[in-house]
Formats: sequence, structure tokens, C-alpha cells
Amino acid sequence: MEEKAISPTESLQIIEKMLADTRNRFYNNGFAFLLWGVLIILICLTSFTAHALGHDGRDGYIWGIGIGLGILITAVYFWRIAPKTRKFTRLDSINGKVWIAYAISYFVLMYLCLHYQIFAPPFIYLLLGMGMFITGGIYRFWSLYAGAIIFWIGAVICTLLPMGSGQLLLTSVLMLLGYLLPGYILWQKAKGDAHV
Amino acid sequence: MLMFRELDPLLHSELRLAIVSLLVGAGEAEFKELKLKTGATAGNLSVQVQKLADAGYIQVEKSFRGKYPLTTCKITKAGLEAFSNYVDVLKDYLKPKA
Repeated sequence: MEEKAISPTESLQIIEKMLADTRNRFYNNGFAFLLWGVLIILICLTSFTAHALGHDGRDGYIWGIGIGLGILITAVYFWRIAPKTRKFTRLDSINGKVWIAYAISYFVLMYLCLHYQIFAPPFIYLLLGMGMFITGGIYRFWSLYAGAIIFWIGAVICTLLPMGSGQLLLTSVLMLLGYLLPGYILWQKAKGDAHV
Repeated sequence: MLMFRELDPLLHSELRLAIVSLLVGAGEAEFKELKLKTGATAGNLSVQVQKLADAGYIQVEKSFRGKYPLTTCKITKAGLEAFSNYVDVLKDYLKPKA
């Protein structure tokens, strides 16, 4: 490539090529999907076991500690550890904002559901589906679209199940298929691109 | 008669446009990556990077990674605006003439 005059059509081709190149800098290694996938499944199974053993009323503590721990690990990873080994692109930054918006919406939704005495999980699945769909669009990665569809279907299935511990098992299955598995496939792709 | 706005001469060059386009997408990139993606020689790339930095379109940071010098280029707000204006003018040129 030299310093030479170019036609408008050539300009457009250069812009398209360079922007496409940056899109291929696949820096999302799926860390957040793997972390939160495993964490939520563990929380659900812990909560399920607590119910089975007759320790009711512990859900608040289990979820509070689990989600607090997840937020702490995520913050340390994205603010301290990841910047040392990789550079974030504008797409990564947009994706980060999508999930920060999800986290804020999650807490507002929890407040609203407590206030109006509404069962929260199907609405959380809706938000998760939206987040997965947008992230799938940003990185153009099929497994994330598939994850979004699984959450949206899960939101409907949720209404067909009785209230109780069965809902925790549904959450575990949805997190496994809609979050952990797409995250694992994304991680494999990032590993293949040698950007992990 | 249809009048065209002038394309920013600083961006309307193959190599400088490639550098800025890459930085618009990536936010920032190391000199080594710019060299790899553009296929330019280190000397030519240095000259063009400096021209863009002088215009305030990009910011060049020099540091060290271990014992080796590391040059990182970042797009600036002025660079993003210039790129956006360039694309707007480019659209006029590429519009089918009535």
C-alpha cells in the first residue's frame, strides 16, 4: 500500500476492507458467558438442594452471595486482568455497554417484581435473550443467536411449569444451553483465532 | 451543474485512509499490526502516521513491552469526525447521477 491518489470507489473498498479486518479481531473469548453460565447453574443447584433438604428461605442469601461474587470477578477480569493481555475494540466496548445495561435492567426488574409481587425468571430470560441476540449481531456469531432463541423459548416454557423447585432446574438447563454452551463455542473460536 | 464537496486531502490517500479506517474500527492498534494489515513499509507507515498525528486525527503513544519499544496509535475525536465527514462526502460522489 502506497501514498497515492485514489478514486471514491477505491476509497470505499479500502474502508470496507479495513473495517472487516477489525471485525475479525475476535477478542471476545466468551469469558463472561463461561463464568456466569457456571455460576448461575451452581446457584440454582445449591438453591434446589437447600429446598430439597428443607432449608427454605435461604434463596436470598444464596443468590445474593453468588451474584455479588460474579460481579466482583467480572469487574476484576475486565478492568484489571484482560486489558494486560488484549486490546478492546470499539465492538467490544459496545458489547460491554449492552451487558452493563442488562445488569442495570436486571436489578431494576428485580425491584419491580418484588414491588408488584411478580414472578421474575421469565422476564430475566427475555432480557438475557435480548442481550445474547445483540451480542450475536455485534460479533456475527451464530451460537449467540441460538442462545437468544433458547432463552425466549424458555420464557414461554416457564409459564407451563408449576411454581417451585422445578423452575430452578429449568433455569439451570437454560443457562447450560443458552449461555454456557454458546460461551464455550465462542471460547473455542477465540482459541482457534489465537486471540485468547 | 452538480457541485461536489472536496474530499479531505489528508484522508484521501490509500495508506492514510487505511490507517484511519482500521483505527475507527479497532479504537487503537499497535504499529506492528498497522504494518501487517496495510502491507506498507515501516518507513512509509511512520511518515503517514506522523502526518495524521500532526493533524490531530490520531494519537501516538510510545512505551515499552519488556525491553522492546512499543508504538500504539489511537483514533481521536477529531479523527472520528474527519472520518465521518469523509464518508458523508464520499456518499455524494458514489450516488448515482440523476
